[in-house]
Amino acid sequence: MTFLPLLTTFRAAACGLACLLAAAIGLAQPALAQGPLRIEITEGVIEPLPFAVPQFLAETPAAAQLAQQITQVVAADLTGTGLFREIPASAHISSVTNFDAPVQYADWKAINAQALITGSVGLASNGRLTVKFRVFDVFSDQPLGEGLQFVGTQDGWRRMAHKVADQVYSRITGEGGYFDSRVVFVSESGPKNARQKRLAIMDYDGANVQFLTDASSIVLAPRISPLGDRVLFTSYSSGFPQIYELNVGSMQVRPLSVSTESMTFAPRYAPDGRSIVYSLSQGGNTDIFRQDLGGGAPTRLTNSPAIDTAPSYSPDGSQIVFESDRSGTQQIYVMPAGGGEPRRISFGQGRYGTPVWSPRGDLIAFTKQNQGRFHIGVMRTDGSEERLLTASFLDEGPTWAPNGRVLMFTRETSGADGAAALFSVDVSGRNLRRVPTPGPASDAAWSPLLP
Amino acid sequence: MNTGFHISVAAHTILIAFLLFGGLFTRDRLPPVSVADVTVISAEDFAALSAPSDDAAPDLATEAAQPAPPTTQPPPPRPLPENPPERAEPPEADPPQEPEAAPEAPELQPLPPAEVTDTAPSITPPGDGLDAAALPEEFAPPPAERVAPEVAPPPPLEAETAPEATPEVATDAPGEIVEERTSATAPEEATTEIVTEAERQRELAPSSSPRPTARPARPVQTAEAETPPARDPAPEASAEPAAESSPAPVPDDDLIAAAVADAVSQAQEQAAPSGPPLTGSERDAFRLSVQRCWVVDVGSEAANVTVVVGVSLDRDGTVADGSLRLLDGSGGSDSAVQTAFQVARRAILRCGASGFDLPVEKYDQWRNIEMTFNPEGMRLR
Repeated sequence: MTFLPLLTTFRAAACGLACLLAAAIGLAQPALAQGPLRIEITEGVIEPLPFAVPQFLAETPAAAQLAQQITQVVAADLTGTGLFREIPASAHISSVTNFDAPVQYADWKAINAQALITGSVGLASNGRLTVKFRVFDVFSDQPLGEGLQFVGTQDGWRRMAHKVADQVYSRITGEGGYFDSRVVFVSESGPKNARQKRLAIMDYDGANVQFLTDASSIVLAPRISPLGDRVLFTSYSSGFPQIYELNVGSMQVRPLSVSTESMTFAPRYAPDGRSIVYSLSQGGNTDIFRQDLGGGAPTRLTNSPAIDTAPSYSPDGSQIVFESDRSGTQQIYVMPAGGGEPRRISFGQGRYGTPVWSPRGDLIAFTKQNQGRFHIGVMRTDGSEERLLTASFLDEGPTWAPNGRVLMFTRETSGADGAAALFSVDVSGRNLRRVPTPGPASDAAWSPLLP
Repeated sequence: MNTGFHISVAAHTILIAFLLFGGLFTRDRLPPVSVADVTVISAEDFAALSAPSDDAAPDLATEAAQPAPPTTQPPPPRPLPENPPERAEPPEADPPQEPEAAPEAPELQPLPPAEVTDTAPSITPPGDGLDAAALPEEFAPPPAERVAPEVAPPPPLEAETAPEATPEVATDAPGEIVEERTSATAPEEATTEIVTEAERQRELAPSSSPRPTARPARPVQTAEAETPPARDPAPEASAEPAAESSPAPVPDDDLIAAAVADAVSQAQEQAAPSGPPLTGSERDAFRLSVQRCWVVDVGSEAANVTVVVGVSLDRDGTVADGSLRLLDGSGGSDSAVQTAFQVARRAILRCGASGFDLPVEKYDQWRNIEMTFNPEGMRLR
């Protein structure tokens, strides 16, 4: 207010000049007033989206406990992404007592819940479990998609909860979920100098661990097939590294036929699941080969005196990213799937390795070693926008979640009693967290979404 | 010379040294005054804490300022009569001055900052030196769950902890309670960048994890983004035209610009009978009120998509039913565009739930709005 008198006197003085200017500007702008107001917004916020999930209703008394557990798993799945924040039940104003009754949007707006998930769980006497749910966009006053129902067995309640969470996730974010997926990893025990390694498989969140192999021989680098039914891994059971394929359903293991005087490692499936790429070391030189799983001779894809290894297909199967030291240090290269002139894409400081193409196709994850530290990072497929997500004594072996949104990797601590553990991190670099495993674990391979 | 002379010289030297420095040592041993823990309080916190409790501030201010010039004030003059709360007691309880010289006293000198009481931050009023010392914390964006255009300090924790630790604070100084209220509504902690683990540990291994070397230049902000709306004297005084014509007036030129703008808007009134256009500050305020609700998921495909959303507002600033529509989207697949539209829609609905604060006399100017949501700058944070 103290400004105003001053301003008016000043205005009078300045008007001589200003009015002249104004006449010019005013003439230039008459059309502006009528169109819609145009605003450009470039700076938003990045924060978890608050959601409310009142405990799912139990249609029968027997389902009460399952309803509670399923609600917990759904909430944990969503919260674990770092993209959502659960509003605790104690803050809820309104309660849901009938799955089909209309929702009181105002009550959920009042606690700033942007999404509301309601559900009900029924358990029939024959063990059939039915989970129904709805998602609501609270601030739009409308449901987000239709209600949905899953039917399964009582034992599979965790999977059904994951499926509900996947649906909620994809309806809110517009992307596929990744909760109903599994992870193959190497379960470790014993000290570093006498470590026993077994292949194991678990849900993405660390539940339901099962072992696939015994501890009689060292196993490395499991890779899961695009359908999730087979696992490739490298084993030392014959004394030198050799690629084996394990059928998860029948638990049968078969070695891949390659010549015995060579070492094969770093296998990975092609997107169609019918062939694999791997590196083969022969006569002191390591190159990348492709082989049909049905048999036949391997096809050579690279031919250089350098060490070419860790190949990974792009999701459309047209290109292969791999690491090579042909420039003197380990760097990442991309080449056509049929072989051909590779193009180097990593140019930062340090050494780059274990590139993995994102299922979404837009990013390549890698391990980077620079100045005594290891990083997991991502870059665009042309090598731009490199972003380091983690840093530690030893991080390696990234693997993508089925939706290309989250990376899981191995982190090993230093020292003789150092142990490996699995960690996950969002591609934005947020939400770094440890994946619970029964013991030390390494070399994760994330499966696709289960059917 | 004889031994007596040597002894005399030595003795006198010691005596003079003692007189010169011994007294100094003695005086230096000021009682350890409780010092605020400057490292956990940011400038904003100080502002928030100091504003409501000006009455209690003066005594505490002198008290906190003492440790800085320790030699100038021989005995602390017990500046707190009786109304300051009990937690000021530690300094008083200490013996004000110890006559005997203590050789280890100099080593005590650097230590005072370590003698920090836990309760101090909640009551320490701002001092200039302390304020400056708190600033360096702000240079590196702290890790926080929320990433926003502006850094917001973590909400003061003492709002919860103070009442338990020092219950007398609350009873003695009613101002404290007011502070708790304000801190309860403090904005959520926020940082301006995503701080990945690789960046957080950069202090330990300075160059081991550089950010992408050329941090991509943010898209050039329009001029009004740089002038906070608060700097404009008053909305009605600075009737600026649409920001295109008067880019970011520096404060000195404000008056001229305002006068120009005023004349411009007068000129425009004749051309456009629908009312004067929104001023730059009004547009800014509106833009800010939308963007604080625009939650960008930077890892998603939708973070590559720029959408243009059309919306019509009612006279009270609320969104007209069913008026939100997607006008244009580019940069991604259809589903990504849809997702980006949903996110933008949620931002408008959420922040406009109680009506946007727009001048009703210019309703025709903001009845129809086209908002462009461009996340390019967010993606590379």
